[in-house]
Amino acid sequence: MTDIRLPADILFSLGPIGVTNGHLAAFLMTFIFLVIGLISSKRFRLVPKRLQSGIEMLMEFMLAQVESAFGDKKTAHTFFPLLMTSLIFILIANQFSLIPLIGHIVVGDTHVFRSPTSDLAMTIALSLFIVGLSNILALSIAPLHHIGSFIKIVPILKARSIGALAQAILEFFLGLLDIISEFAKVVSLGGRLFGNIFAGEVMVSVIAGLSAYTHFVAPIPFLFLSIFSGLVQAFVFVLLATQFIAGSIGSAKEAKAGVAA
Amino acid sequence: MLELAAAKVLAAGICMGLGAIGPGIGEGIAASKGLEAMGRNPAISNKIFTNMLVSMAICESTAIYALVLALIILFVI
Repeated sequence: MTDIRLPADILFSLGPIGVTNGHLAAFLMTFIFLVIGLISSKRFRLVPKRLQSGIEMLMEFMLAQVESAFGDKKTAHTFFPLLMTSLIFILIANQFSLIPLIGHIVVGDTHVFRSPTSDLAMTIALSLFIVGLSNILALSIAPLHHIGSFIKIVPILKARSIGALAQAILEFFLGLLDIISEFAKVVSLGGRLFGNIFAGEVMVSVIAGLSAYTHFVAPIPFLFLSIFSGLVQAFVFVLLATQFIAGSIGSAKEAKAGVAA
Repeated sequence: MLELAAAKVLAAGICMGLGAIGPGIGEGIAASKGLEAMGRNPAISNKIFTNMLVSMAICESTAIYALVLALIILFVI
C-alpha cells in the first residue's frame, strides 16, 4: 500500500509536547495570513478594491448567518470573531494540499508539512473546543437549568399519576442519553471534517500511485471533488458550531430570564 | 483461519460498503425535495440550492464515519 499515515508524524519535541507536521503547517499558514491581514488592513478604503471586497463578502455572508442564529445582535457580535476565525482557518487549511511545492519537502522518511485538518487530533480539538465552550457558557449563565436538562429529576418529583410517573422516568433516561449525545456531537463534528479532507488526500495519492501514467491528468476529477468538499465542509463545520453555541446560550438565557421574571 | 491482513481488507470493504447505503438513499431524498422546491419557486432558487447543499453535506456524515473506521482498520490496526 502507498505510504498513507493516519496520525501525523512528530518532528521534534518541546518538552512533553510533540510538534507534528500538521502543527508546522498550521503555524506557517497562520503566520502567512496574519501578515496578509495586517498589511492589507492598512490599505482599507471606503470604496473597496479586490481583496478587501472579497473579505467583506465573506464577512457579510457569515455575519448574516450568525445574526440569524443568535437572534440578538449584541451576542452575535460577541461570538462573530471566534466563528469567522474558525471559518478562515478551516477554509485555508482544507486547501493546503493545493499549495505547489510545500507538500514535498521531505526530511528522511517524513513530510515536513501536512494539511492541518487532515489530522484527527486537530479537528477533534476544534470540535471539543466548540462543544466545551457551549456547555461551559450555558453552565455559567444558568447552571441549575443546564444540569436539569440532562438529569431530569424534577418531573419525577412532580408526577401525580402512574402515567405521568412512567413518562417522567422515561424522560430521566432520555436526559441521561443526552449526555452521551454531547460526546457524539464532538466526535461527529470533528470526524466529518477529518473524514472528508483525509479521504480526499488518500484518493489522490492512491490514484497517483497506481502507475507512472496516472500521475498528471487522472487525479484531476478527484482534486476538483476534494476542493469542493473542502469548501462545503468548512462552511458546514462553522454553521453547526454556530447552531450549537446559539442553541445552548439561547435556552440558558431564556431560563435565566424566566426565573428572574 | 483468516490471516490478519486478509481480515483487515475484508473488514474495511464490508464497513465502507454497508455504510454507504443509507446516506446514498438519504441524500437522494434530500436532493429530490430540493429540486422539487426549486421547480415550484424558481425565484428563490439560490437560497434553496445553498441550503440543499449544506443539508446534503450533513447527510453524508454517517458515510464519512464509516470511511474513517475503514481507514482506521486498514492503516492503524
